[in-house]
Amino acid sequence: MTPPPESGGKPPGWRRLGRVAPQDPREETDEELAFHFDMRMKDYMAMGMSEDEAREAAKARLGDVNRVRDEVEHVAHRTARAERRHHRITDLRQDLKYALRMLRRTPTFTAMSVTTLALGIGATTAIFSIVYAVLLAPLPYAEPDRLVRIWETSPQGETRNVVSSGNVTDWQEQASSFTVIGAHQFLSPATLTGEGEPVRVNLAQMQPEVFRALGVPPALGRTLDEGDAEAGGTAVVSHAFWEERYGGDGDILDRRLTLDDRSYTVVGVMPRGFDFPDGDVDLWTPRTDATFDPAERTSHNYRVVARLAPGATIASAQSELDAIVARITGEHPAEMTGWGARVVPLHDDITTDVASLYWVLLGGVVVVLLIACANLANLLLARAVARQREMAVRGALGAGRGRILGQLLTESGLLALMGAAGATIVAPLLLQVLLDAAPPGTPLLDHAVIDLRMLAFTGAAALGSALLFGLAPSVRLSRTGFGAALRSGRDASSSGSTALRSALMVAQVGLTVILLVGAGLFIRSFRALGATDLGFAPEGLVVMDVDLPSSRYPDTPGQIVFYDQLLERAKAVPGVTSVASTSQPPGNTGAMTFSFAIDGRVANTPNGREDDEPLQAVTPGYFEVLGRRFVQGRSFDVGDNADGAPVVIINESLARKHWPDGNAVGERIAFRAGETPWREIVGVVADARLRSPDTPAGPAIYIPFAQKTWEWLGWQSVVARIDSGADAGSVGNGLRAALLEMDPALPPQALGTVEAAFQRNTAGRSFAMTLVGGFGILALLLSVVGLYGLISYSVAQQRREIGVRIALGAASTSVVGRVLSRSLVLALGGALGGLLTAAALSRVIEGLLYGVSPVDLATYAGTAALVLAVALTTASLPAARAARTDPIQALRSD
Amino acid sequence: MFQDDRGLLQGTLELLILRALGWNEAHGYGIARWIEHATDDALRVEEGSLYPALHRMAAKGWVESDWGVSENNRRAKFYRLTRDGRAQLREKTEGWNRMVDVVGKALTAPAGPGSVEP
Repeated sequence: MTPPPESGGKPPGWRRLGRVAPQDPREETDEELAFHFDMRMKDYMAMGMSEDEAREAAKARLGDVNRVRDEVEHVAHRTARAERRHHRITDLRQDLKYALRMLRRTPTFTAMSVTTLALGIGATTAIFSIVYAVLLAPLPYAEPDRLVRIWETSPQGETRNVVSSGNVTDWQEQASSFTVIGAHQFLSPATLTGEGEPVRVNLAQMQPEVFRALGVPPALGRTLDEGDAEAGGTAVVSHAFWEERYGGDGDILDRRLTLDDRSYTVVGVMPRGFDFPDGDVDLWTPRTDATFDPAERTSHNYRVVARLAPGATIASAQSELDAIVARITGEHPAEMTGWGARVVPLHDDITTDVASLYWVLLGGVVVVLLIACANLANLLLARAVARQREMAVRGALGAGRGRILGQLLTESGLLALMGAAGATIVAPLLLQVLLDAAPPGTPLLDHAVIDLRMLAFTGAAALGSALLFGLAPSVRLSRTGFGAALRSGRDASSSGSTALRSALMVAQVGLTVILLVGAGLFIRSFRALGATDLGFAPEGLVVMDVDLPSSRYPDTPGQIVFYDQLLERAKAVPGVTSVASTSQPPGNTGAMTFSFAIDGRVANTPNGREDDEPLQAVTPGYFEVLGRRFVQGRSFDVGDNADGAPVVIINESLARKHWPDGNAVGERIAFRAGETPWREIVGVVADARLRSPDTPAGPAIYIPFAQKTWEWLGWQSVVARIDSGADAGSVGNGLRAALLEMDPALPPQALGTVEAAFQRNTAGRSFAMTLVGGFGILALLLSVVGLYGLISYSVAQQRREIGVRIALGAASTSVVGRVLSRSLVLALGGALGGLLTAAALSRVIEGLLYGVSPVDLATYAGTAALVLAVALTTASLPAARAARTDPIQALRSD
Repeated sequence: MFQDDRGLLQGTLELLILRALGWNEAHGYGIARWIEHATDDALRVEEGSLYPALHRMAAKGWVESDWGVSENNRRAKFYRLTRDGRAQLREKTEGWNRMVDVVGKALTAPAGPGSVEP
């Protein structure tokens, strides 16, 4: 035990006085203990002890001094911590109270800020929830990141070609990079009969391996297995089908369903939300081994899904497949030369068509949010300058910089919090609007919901916004030179703040320009689309699909008679001016392709036949109903029937490809090897964009329906042109009635107009155009508000200076000119930066554009002109006010 | 005894300090002397432990302190009761008395727990 330090040497004559600054608690304790020790020793010596005895006794009486010191220090620490916590809480409570009071005092500002934030954050959340569901969330399958698609690559350069059964079989047998590989295909819809109304159901045919690869357990019963692949006749139904058709009845297992007169036993129900390969499938039936030809290599029909083996990567799987394909090609050079295989992560494959659209939309809405934040920052800065004196007083009264910063950030945080609260109302509403407007066929879209994760995103967005718009003004203000601001009546450091506000304004204009350029490019794409020569007239065309069940209409003659009579009746429907039928109506994006041979030629391909080309079977008058122009030769007529000489018509693209000299008419082709007689080309029809206005025509072959040699081709679409005054809906009803008169057992068939189908096919573009255009308008409005505020403010601030100028005889035009030029400089700076950034970024949306370059000069120049004009207009009001400044008043005031 | 039964008797030490400061402000040594006299030195307080106790009581707001000058002109820290401290003194004194009463009664009760009728 060490004796306490001696306490000699202290200046005498200390009087009692409260010390302001607290002493180090350790030193204090030492001093107290030393005093105690000395007093005790003195008392002991007064009792007659020697000095040494007294020292020892006092030491013993005092106890372990080190322990006492430690304990005191511990208590002091705890006390200090509790005090700090207490202070922080009271500070926060005070800040909140004060912030609320400030916000209440400026209700317009508060309401505007909160509304802006609620809309900005809400819109961002809504779009993010879609982006999350479609692009970010894992697929609803077991270990989804191990799932891949395997496509074939074709000699024509197609990178997502469907696969032949022979190749799938070889991959399944030889590839070790996958635990399982499964093939599946969509079937044309079938008619479910036997129970109640006949309905059309959508079918997917799967190898059992597909279910194994996906690893999703059924909700009821079982999925398909190897036994089903051997025997067939079984089906698994979707949750939606089970609920709608059977009310979720557990008895559905073992029930027999009749599809197109074939019978299937239900063995299982998939869980809700299982949507492989897409959400429209009602029933999955097994691809039976008997119909899966392991030697077939020319007919490419199957989509393939596989699960990577443990340890395998996309790259390693790809190189193994490359080796396998090379081996197959060596064995079958005629069929396989030029073909390859390609492994793609399943998620990428599903979203590849829509990814850029949704990323662009998310980018757009974030830019709007940024602009809103810049706007708020500018408003807060303006307020900050007005409050410099208040802050200076608070500073002088002892509030530290940290406290003032905290106070200001509490205000912006409170605004952001209120904005976020509003966003939780706005986001679900906006999401519903977006889901309704989203282009049909967007995968995974129905998984988009506003849930806790999305609300967390909202919170983060709000926090980020608060920092963005609150930090600059707060730092600026907390740095106020207290003395200077107090001395000068006006704000002492407004020049720095004005520079900051100008910078924010330039950034805001720049961001707006980026959005406007994007919107402009989309609008020009849309107009280019509308101005495209389609090669036919899509207006006023009504389409009704008809699919004859092969059980009752097994052969071509019977089908021909049926369609002849149907078209007769259709012609009589009021409003119909002309009518014909085709196997692939305009607006349908599918294709049935055939390879063919040209009489007298051997193609430079392994099998000597020409490339596959899309083929349609049409009835006489079809080209006339569509309004298509013939370049050469003639159209089909009623004589081109089963008794007539076989004929074909090709389009310009095909003619150019194979007969570049322009003498296609009179040449002969055949679809099957050794098919006789050859089919003679009797006409060349001008190209037409039949699938979608944005899809170039490509080669096409037409045969008369009456000369088709495939019994299975039983479907046709009736295409009717209607009077300009007629209503498409009632014509459609008339067509349907005509169909049911002929065969009441036919289920409801798809009915629509070509224009509607075209709209669907270009919905992605119009969706992007509408949203980005909307973002652009919103951005422009926000920028106008921001610019107006900034210019008005600077005019008000320079009132005295302007007054002096006017007093000295400056013309009002020069005053106006000065104000306008300031606005123009800001807008120019922003526009320049925005245009450059837009040019750099526009490559991102190139795939969404049509008929316009991403750096289209007219769009960029137009945007710049628009922004400058708006800037001038916005500034003209404050400029006029400046010109009217009364110099006497301006100089007298303040 | 305070060095052995620190936890149990911490409250008792605090009560004694409250009592010591009940009339007058005092420095730590003064408090120690008062306790020594008032208890005829029966408790033999290890006097160092007074100081952590004083700090704890200050943190609870029962006592406050100022530096001043002692009777022999030395700088010393003087403690006095706050309003809260006075209330504590009253409360704790009553509590102590009640406790002594009850425990005393229990210890002089005629029989052990085994004989209590159900």
